[in-house]
Amino acid sequence: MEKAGVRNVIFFLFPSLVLLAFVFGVPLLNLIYYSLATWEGINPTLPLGPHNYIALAKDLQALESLIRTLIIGGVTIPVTVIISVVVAHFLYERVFGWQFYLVVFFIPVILPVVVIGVIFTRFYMPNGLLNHILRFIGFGRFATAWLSNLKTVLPSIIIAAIWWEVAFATILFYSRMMNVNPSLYEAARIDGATEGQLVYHVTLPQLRGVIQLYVVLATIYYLNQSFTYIFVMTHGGPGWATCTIDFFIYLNAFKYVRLGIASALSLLVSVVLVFIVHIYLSMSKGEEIQ
Amino acid sequence: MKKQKLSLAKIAIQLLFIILAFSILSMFYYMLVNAGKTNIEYAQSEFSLPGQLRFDSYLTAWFHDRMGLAFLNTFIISAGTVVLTLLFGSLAAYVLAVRGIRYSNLFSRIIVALMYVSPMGLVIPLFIWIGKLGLVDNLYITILIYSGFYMPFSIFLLSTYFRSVPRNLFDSARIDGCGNLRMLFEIVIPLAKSGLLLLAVLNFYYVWSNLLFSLIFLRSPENVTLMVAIARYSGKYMAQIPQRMATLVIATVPLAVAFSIVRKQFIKGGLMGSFR
Repeated sequence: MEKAGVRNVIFFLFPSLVLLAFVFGVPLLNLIYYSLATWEGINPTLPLGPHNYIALAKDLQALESLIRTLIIGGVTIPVTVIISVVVAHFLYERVFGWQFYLVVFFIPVILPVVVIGVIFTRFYMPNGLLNHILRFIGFGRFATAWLSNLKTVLPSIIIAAIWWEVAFATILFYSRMMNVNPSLYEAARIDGATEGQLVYHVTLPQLRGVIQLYVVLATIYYLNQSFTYIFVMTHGGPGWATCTIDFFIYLNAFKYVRLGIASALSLLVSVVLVFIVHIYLSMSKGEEIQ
Repeated sequence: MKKQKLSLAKIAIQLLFIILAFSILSMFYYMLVNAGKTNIEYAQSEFSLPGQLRFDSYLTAWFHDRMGLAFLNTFIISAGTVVLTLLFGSLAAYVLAVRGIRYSNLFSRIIVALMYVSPMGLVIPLFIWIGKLGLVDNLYITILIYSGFYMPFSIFLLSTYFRSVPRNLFDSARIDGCGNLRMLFEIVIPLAKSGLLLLAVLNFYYVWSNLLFSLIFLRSPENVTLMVAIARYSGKYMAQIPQRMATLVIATVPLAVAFSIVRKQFIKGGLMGSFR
């Protein structure tokens, strides 16, 4: 009777297994094959070999894209953590107008990245809001076409990214702080702790788990999904100045038809991601995965 | 003296909040205000309020730019994915979290790993495969792709909600001769319906705002989604700003409505991480 029940219940898995095989199973196996195949246009052929990986290792654009990706993530993530921990702390401490801020910080979180990209593109235009503000406060000589200038384009994208991340991370951290026992703060205050000491010695340790979670999620995001920002704001330009690793894969796969290199690189990125998630899960035992 | 120092720090903190809120609201303001202008008003000033409340640019965007069609396509794909992931995800999560089979644990672990597979890595082989089958530019195939892609997260999230249903309910129901399907639809799902609602909102948001998959798998102007249409029109040479901004508002409203229903649950339920 119990066994019959299990057999019935196996059919419950069937539709999702078919979908998983369709989107993950077969494509991932094919991706391994493609990364080793010899490509003639859009057709993978034999012999198999590591030649795509060798070509990739010699490709200077790939290396530069990787470095750019690491710069974007490496600046965005630490800056976001620092700002958001402080902001979440003072939201918890009921800064004047905290309910208003809580609503405002939720706005970027639900905006699609495409929409954010378009608004920031307007913001950075030669006649856009940023240059208007600069001229208004007397720094007009710094006004420039932010997304066309080789020196300013990457920082401009990083600032757009931080804008979203701070809003997201603040709400993420704040939602965790609602579980923190207020008596921790009362006790520290009685001992004469300043607000800065409270942030460092009480809030920060309480948020350790969720900060780890955030850093892992954001790292994964910037390693393989900055595509949308880049596609909307700069399309990798000017020149190659904002081509990140996943935009490089996109260009090679769908524009230059270098499918061998694109497959090899995206497989490498996937392996790195699985590795990062594995390390994180074994560190935190998965308790914070949500 | 010490007291004054303290209030200076307080002012600095308040200033930080005001700058952050201003930077968010000014972007929002720019989008809303310019969506309500005529092209002439926009040319005169990019930042001032429009002379009167107008919805012309929304109508132009909706009909002339065919954003109405893009809206409908996006809605069909998002809603279709939500239905499939809720239905199939519930069935699978029931097996893994409630019934338990021999390889439940291994299966759950694979599910978690799949949540982090790079979409860019999947798109290349999927596109070649679907191209060979001649199924590119098909809304229904795109729904299946999205459903499969968000299935790991759906099963994972539903499993955590299904696990919180008290187990003694199952035992007593089973003694009463309750079959698996009835158990799922009459006991588990009603008790976990807040989880299903949250998952529906999240999956709707993911598909609605996704650029990459819709860009690759839908090609013709008849099948274009809002995000693809917006991304194509954007860039440095964007013209007719009022109707473009109106399009951004149109693309945002459904998400704002969906999230305003469940915002509190997100913050309380520790679900914020799912925005990544």
